[in-house]
Amino acid sequence: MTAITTATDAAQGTTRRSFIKLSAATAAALGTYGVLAWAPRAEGRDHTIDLFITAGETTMVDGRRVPVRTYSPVEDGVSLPGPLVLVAERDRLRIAITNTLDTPHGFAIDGFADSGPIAPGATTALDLVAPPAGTYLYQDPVDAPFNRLLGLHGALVTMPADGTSTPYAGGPVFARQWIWVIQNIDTAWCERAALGATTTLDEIVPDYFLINGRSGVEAVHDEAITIHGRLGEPALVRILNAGVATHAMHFHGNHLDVLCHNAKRAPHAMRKDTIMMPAGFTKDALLPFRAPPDIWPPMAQWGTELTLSYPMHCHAEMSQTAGGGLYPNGMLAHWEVDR
Amino acid sequence: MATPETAPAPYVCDLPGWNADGRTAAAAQAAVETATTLNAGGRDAAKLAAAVAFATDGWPQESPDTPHRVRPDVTFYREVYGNGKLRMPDGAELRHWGFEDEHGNRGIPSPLIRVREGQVVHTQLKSTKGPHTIHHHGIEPDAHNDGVGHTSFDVNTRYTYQWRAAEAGTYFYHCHVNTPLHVQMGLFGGLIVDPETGPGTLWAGGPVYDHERFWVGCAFDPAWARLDHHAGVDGADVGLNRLQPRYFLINDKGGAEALEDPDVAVRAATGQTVLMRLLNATYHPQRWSWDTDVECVCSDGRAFDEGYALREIVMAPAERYDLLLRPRSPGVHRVKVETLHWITGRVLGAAETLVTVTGAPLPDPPGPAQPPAPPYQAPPAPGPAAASPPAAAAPPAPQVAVKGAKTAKRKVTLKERLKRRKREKPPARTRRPAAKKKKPPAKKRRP
Repeated sequence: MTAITTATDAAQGTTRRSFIKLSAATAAALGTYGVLAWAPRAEGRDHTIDLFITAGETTMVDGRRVPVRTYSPVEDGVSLPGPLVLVAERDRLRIAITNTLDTPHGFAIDGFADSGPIAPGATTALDLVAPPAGTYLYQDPVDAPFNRLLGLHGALVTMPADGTSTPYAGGPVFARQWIWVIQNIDTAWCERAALGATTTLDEIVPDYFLINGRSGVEAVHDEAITIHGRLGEPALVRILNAGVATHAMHFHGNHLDVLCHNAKRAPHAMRKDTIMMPAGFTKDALLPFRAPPDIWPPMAQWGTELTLSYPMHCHAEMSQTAGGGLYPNGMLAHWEVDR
Repeated sequence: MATPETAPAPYVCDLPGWNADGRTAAAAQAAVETATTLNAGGRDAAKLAAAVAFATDGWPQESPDTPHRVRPDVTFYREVYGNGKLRMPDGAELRHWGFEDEHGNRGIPSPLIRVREGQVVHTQLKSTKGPHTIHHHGIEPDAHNDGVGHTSFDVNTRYTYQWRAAEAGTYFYHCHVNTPLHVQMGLFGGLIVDPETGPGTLWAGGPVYDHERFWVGCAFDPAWARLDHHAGVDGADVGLNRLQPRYFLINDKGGAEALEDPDVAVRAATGQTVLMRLLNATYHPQRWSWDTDVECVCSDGRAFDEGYALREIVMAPAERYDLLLRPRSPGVHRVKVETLHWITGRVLGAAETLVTVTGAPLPDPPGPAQPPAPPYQAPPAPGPAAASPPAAAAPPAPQVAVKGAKTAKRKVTLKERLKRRKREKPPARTRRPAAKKKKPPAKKRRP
């Protein structure tokens, strides 16, 4: 019962990003990365999701083409990152994964599901109940983290059963939510790995740094990545580090409340302008859309020249590059106040 | 199986706040020409040109006006220099860049900016050797004063950044032009916002301290000193994605020097409080560790509702943490910062300093000791949490000595420190209960 459709990328006029939309219910939609539409509902639903492990190429911000392996919603395409799975607590999922490649791969959600190796050409179905409310990285457990780095990853988000727009039951309410899957690409390594070379972390020297498959000039013009809203309307940002490097997500303009680490409540409540993202981690943080506190004179005295458009970039500044230079065409996004 | 892609039109910046000023087209044209010559290794000329145009779209404005400029409460002058030299622990000379203040103070980190909550601040930038900006990291003004080229402008000659310090805490400032290179070359310095009462209290109603250090964990790769101001923005691979540091410092000191240097190491007495403001100024994560419990109370300029004890903390680049050490017995404590490779986690290098505690041992503090919360990504800190000493004894006047704070040193009276508390919720384990809230005199400002 899975309908597949294709999102048109406004910035590029391409069909680069695909997403799945469940036909089962209007409320149980799987959406694009970026802002997540979520309609509250009271009851659990059944979802059937088909994923294909595929190989292909993706294109970097400067046009360099890189071989990747991905979870794709269609048999003959690639999707970097893999499609977003957006469900609610109590939902039941049947995820059918078909390996179209000639090497074994799998599908796992840490602590909740693991297909084990899926042989070339084989299909494995996983039946599971949605994990507790939170943000989860799904990835290939075979030869981890290298197949994840090669592109075999995506996000699963569980909304709380009470149907509220909160990251967890009783958590702070947000107006909108975005999801950012961050990723490193080492083009030379990808080319070797696509040929099946064995590897170690020492060999990885990333030269491209992506958010939802994009970087730099393309990321700041991607409506699915750019966070926007009005003052007083908090946005939840779910960040998943599918790469292998530790990143430092620095938001200009507002501090964020870091709420969850790996789908669990953060051990210490912190309000941060720079959020550490270790490899393989997920974190949920609330961007409050407060009036930026250090503006002077007060905002009321400004006219149209007042600009509330801010970058979010990784402060491990090596990640701000593309192909060894081209600052700031790396792991960069924008957040903007609508007025 | 590749997804079809179509080449985008030449890049024209349509971001809010962008003042095209006739430069976008010229930059894009130059970029296309550069990109065509650089179109090697499977890159696409049009896409590369768009990326190059974006990389150069902050270029530059000569001396823009500050919108709604007012008379400031405090002004800082920062002029870029490009001929800094710093002696490394192995005797080699590290070439670096930095911001010099009006008194000629220089160094790693650049001279401290220290202000108080509520002050309207002007940071006057004078660029040399190409365009620069100042981004006050963690300070949140409008985009014009945020120092980011592609959301406002780069500064070719002069600009005065105007902002008002909203919240006490530990921040820093740095250039935001070709940032990987410019920050690594040394264009950064510490920034402290004190509560209205000034140094000696971390935030209004928060912990008071007797000694203070702003420890910046630095890691430098001297090879990057060979790179040009705008290296890489034309699309050339200049290796800015590969930082392989060789020198590991706390502020400007490494090796044995960092253990002894009076601006880095601390000498305190039992019963006193040592405030350690930490900043990771490199691009790899850093692990700070102590051989005793310290209390973590604040990060990124935002106080915690409740502090927690730790002996080890991993900090991502640009994060700040404020920690307190309250020694109750004499001895020497070793503090270590290790820079960890951002992918392998391997220790690339380390720097250490000492906290030397003198004086008579103090009895254990009253009250039940709380079990320490496990620090994030670190083994649980053993031992009881640091608890409050008795509130009765007044500590000696603070000796505030922050490296780079040459113009900011001042003594603060006890009366000043106790003046007022702002937060509704009492912060954890303050040394003394905060005094009654008292409205400060209104500041005189000109519109």
